[in-house]
Amino acid sequence: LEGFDPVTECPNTSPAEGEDAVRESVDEKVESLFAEITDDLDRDLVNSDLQSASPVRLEIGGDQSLNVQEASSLAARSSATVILVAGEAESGKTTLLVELYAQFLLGAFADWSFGGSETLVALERRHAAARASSGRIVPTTERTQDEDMRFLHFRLGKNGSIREVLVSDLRGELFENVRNGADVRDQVPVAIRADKSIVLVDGEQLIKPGTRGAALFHLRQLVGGLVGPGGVRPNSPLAIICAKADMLPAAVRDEVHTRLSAMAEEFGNRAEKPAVFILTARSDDATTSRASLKALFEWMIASDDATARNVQYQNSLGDRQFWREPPIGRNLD
Amino acid sequence: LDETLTKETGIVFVGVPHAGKSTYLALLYLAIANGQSASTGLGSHLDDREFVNRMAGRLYRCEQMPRTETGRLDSLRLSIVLSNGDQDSLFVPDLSGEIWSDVLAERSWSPEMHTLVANAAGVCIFANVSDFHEDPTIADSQLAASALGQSYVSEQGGRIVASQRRSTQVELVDLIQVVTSEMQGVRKRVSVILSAFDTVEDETPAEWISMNAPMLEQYLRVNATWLDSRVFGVSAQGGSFENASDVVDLQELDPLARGWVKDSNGAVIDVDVPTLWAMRNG
Repeated sequence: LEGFDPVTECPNTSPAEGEDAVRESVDEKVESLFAEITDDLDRDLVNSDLQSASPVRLEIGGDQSLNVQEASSLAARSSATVILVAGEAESGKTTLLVELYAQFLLGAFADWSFGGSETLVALERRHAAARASSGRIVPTTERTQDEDMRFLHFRLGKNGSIREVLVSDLRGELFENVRNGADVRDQVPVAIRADKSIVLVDGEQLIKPGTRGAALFHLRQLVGGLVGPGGVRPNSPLAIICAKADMLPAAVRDEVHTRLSAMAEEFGNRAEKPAVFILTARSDDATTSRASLKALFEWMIASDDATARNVQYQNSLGDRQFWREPPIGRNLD
Repeated sequence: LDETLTKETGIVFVGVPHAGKSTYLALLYLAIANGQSASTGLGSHLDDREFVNRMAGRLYRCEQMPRTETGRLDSLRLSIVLSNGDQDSLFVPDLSGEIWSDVLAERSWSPEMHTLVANAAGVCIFANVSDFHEDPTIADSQLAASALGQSYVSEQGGRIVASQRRSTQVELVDLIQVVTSEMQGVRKRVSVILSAFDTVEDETPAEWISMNAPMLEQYLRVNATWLDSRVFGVSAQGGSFENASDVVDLQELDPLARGWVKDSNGAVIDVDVPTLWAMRNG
């Protein structure tokens, strides 16, 4: 009967046979449809039961940056390196973090490989505005909105060893307060726990001589506030960074480097003289930004064993305890 | 809810919709039931196989597995005989891709799902290579447009939208993190199954992962101290069921003649290897 529709058109079929065939065909279709519908219902019920019948939901996490308690717990069990990223609003702090993350989407970076993150979705979300799927034609980074101390997490691996890194993701306003003289212990209470610190200045503010002087003046005040009492420890490495350097003409870039180096000398009474980086974390030229990020990343990831020794670690700030005792084997006391 | 579902130890198939879970499940069943392209055999003919028979029927007829295709059993549950003669049981609940999408979107799951995963003997995680979302950066898209002598225009016509979907490689890392964090035991196992691998030319599954999912490749390598993983390429259908002329050709062949599984180096292996390996019998 194949090829005849209706099947009664088939010359080899008697009317009665044709009717029977039609009836059988319809019956089969109805039966098949009914089976599919009931299957669908069964499947939907069972699967929906499995996922949502219980009013209790267990959180799986990963979509938010870590609060102090969560970061503290992770740091205590994994000897994570804690990096404070400081800078005024829109200085490029979050862009630096998401562009570092984005390098691992392409492959290993500076010989380190991505081994996961407790904040994977939070990192993804911060990178979303740099993706074509955002609908934007110019990559951007959403401003950090969290009011409290927040951290992003990277688990990195190299030659069989694992390094856990917690990087702060804090609002720029906190650092503006420090620059204006507020006590760093109140504004950025995690500063004292930082194994390393990065202080950024917005390169866009350095283009014109008029704003350049003010921006560098603010930067010096911020660094001074951060290394003050209750701030970053004297023996924890510090980097001073000009972000968005691709916006600067070459001559200005050289001048900025000279002035940042001079600033590093001013704070040279630390265990290590602050490092200086001229950074282009995000640019149209991926090669430039990758090379620029690589130098800073290598500084960030360099072993902090030397730093960990002789640290005057305090686990209590006033009546608030921010970090658990470090694990045995890591001498922070 | 099938009370026994969350109490049994089984293999959990993980993947978003259209990742190829159900199609592979049907091929796996056919391989074991026919004793062909499988190192295991059917240990009993008493298992309730209505559900898998129905799915296998679709594979024979070259029909796409519908999103909600399943039966009352809601799982593949077979008594099997291993190559060394030992008896074992294979239990694979057929979880819909929507469940996993929901877990990723809501960042939470039910206690029943949690128990199912916590009891799992192993995990097979699926990704469809013909539906592998890259989510390029604006900079990359601009470069691509520039190379073609065009100026970049966003697909959304300049309208800023909240991205609906993350890149597939990040979804896979996310899923593996979520699932393995709840699995019991010090060492965990994950079979990474790349479905629709017949659409890939001249690359082994391992090469494909390195090229197209470098973050996933890094993740599996870095965590090898506690996470055993293998990558497989699967063509459960043997080709596309979307094109009518292709379907006519495919229907000429038995599903086990047109479907295949490749190991990470591209060698054709038994259909049941990814599953057996995940449950430590491979």
